[in-house]
Amino acid sequence: MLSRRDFIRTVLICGGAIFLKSGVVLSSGLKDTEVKAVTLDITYTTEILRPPKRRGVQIWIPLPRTDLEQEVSSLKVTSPYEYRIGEAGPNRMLHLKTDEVKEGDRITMVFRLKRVASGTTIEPEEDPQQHLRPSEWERWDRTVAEFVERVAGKEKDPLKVGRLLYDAIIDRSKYLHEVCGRGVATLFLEEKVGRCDEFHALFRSALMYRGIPARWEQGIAFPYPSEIKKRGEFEADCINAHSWVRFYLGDGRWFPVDLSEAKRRPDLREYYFGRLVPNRMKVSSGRGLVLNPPQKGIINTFAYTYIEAGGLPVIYGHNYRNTINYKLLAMEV
Amino acid sequence: MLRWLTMVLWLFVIIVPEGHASEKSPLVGRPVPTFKLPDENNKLVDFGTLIDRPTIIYFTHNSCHYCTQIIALLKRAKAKFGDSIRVIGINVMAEDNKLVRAYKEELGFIFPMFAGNRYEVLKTYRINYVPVLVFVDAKRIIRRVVGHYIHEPVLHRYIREIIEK
Repeated sequence: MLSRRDFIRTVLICGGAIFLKSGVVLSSGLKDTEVKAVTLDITYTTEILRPPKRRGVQIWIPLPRTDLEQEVSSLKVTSPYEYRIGEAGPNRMLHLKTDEVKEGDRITMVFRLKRVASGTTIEPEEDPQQHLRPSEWERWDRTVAEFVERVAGKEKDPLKVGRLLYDAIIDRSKYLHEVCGRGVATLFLEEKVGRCDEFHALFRSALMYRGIPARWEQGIAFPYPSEIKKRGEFEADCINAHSWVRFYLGDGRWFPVDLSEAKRRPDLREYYFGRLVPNRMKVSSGRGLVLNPPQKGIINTFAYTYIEAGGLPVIYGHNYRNTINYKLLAMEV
Repeated sequence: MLRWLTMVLWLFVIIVPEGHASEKSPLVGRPVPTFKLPDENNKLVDFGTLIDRPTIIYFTHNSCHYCTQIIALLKRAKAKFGDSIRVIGINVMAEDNKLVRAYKEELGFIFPMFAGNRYEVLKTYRINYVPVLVFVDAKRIIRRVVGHYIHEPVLHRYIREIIEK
């Protein structure tokens, strides 16, 4: 039975969706779905709040790179420690190693990001097979298999399977923002509550179970175009980290979906099946990554700075903090 | 005017969070599940042996700064309620004692803590994100599961609930 609050919520969502027809229009009059590109000057800072008690500090910072959806330019790095830029698979990162960490030390990256509203990408060089291997958090079990069979039945077309799973997962799940997700597919199937990593872990797990390659894309979320200010600041942490998925349609075509944003923004549910609003920055791809040079700890996702001291992960918010300052340069409609 | 009023009401209902589903967790009302887990000295301890009074089991990990903020609240709660409550930490990132020990040293975490990166623990307690606080009464029955940041007055209210049960 619906609670009173759920009833009111349902009535208002339906009423509001009909009332507003196509997309929330805020005071600026700008529709998020009509923005073709956003250009920002970004300053990403990692600040040492308290030097770790253990020696042998290593710092890895994901470096966004230019691809079919975004252009990264004019990168400048300033750091009190020596650094090098390395690659590990598709990911690029800054690596720093030091024993001389002081409170207030700052590593800063300044760059320009132009992000476009993204749809299906054509990537004939991308091997789909590599995106059939689940991370340890996306391994399916009998319950995931039964869920997929129940939802997708005998459907074989990847796009139709994707749509059936997209709707089923969004309909059955609640979104929760202020938590740090672990993104475990089987637990999310059972618990039905989570944020982006939980929604996308289950979606990816379900697709891979059906033999449909699905790529994990990891980034940071910016305010929506309808809400963004000329300048802004927020933390690059587990709350502002954001993930989404592209799945393979065949013939080199990769189709984007964002289930958790579709849940948060019911007015964008159709849009997020196949398109992405350009209020994001992709910083890495994949889960359970091995960095360069390899870290000792397990990395669930690589969305922001990761630090080890003496081979052990240090504590975000206690030992260090990441901040993103942005300046909005242009918005193309 | 009516259009704006409807829109404000609509956004309010969508945005303002209600009590989270974890507070209606199926664990509530059930005896607290316990496990043998490594402590900071790598000794396997059944943390159930520590639940001899109203207890908060606190699930956390290193990447969660809401979690570090909650530790300050737990320390103050311990100072306020004294021996009438116990706090147990479980680090869901830690596979062994090393990370537990480092975490305790860095943060001055004064409570017992265990390495909880074990599938059976995470599945039993349904830990897919942190922070999670499990409130257990003196009869070892789970009374609440809070799966989000908690404000201090609410924390104190929930502690009083398990003390008074």
